[in-house]
Amino acid sequence: MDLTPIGYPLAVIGAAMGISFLGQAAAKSIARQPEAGGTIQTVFILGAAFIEVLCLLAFVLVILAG
Amino acid sequence: MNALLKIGRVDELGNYVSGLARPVTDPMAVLGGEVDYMVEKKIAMTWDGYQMGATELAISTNTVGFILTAIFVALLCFFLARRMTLVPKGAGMNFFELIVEFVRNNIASLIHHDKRKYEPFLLTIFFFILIANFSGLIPNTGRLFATATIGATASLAIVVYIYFNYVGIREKGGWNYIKGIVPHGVPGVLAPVIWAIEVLSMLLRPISLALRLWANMYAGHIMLGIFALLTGLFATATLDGSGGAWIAASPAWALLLAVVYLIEILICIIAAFVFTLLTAVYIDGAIADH
Repeated sequence: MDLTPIGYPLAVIGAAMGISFLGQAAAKSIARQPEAGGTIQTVFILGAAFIEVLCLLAFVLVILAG
Repeated sequence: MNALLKIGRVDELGNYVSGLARPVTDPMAVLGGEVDYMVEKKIAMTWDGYQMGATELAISTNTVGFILTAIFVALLCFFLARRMTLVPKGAGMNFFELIVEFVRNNIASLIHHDKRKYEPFLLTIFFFILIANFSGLIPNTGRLFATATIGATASLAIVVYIYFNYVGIREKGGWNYIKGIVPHGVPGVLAPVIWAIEVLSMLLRPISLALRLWANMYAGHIMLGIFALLTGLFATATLDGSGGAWIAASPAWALLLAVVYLIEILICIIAAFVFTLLTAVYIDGAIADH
């Protein structure tokens, strides 16, 4: 029984939630202190890259395995 | 990307049936077979004629593309550096100075101790991955997309791993570097266990670097292929006149394809940026606390 249609959307939901929280925190902290904008942007992109790997792994496994 | 020219599939006898030879009445119904055919077509040929997939390690035509990209970047930077003046003038020189300043301000500023020494390495990695990613977006070159194979990205990640370990050993001395892997404030009894865990997590770094770059490029390429395929299917349905209600959707699909292409360009730049950023973070971690 193939559970891909259940597993892959769960992976995407997890990644989307993680990056959304990160984006919310980044936007709020830039609104509080605009001078630190460059550092906060770097931190955001770094965190988003780590989370996105997991989502892309799921995509590649789905394409390669079926 | 070749969808408009070569929509087709291989039927039961192994013959190639062109998509334009028959009217497509329902594009969504033929989509599954077309996607399978397209993913299968992303194979490259090795130097002794064996066809490999995207996750195998072999010397293939993609390797030749990688080497060509390296030679191109080397020649480009060599001829650019000759025309270097104190104040850059002209659009071309300003553009490359923009890239250099971007890497210097955003990436090399993460290294606290000695950033001028590591800027050449970081700039090389950034520029090389940028051009290698872009060369995969040019349509109809077939086998030029090297960063979509796990071999090319794994070799880049191994180079980065060897480099930051070498830098750490050179700066701090061999025994100090090995002792410095454990973070501060750990009681003496737990230190060997924490050390083993830290070494394991350091071993995970090049794996995650390679996997991140490869998965970004491969998945983006397949996404672009699917959108191009759908645009082609809708276009054939329109041109044959057999589509019926699908005709109205085909200009929208062409616009969507253009937007997805632009998103792909953005992802190429971001993937190169994140690779270089993580390299800088690892170098900083290796030469920390003097």
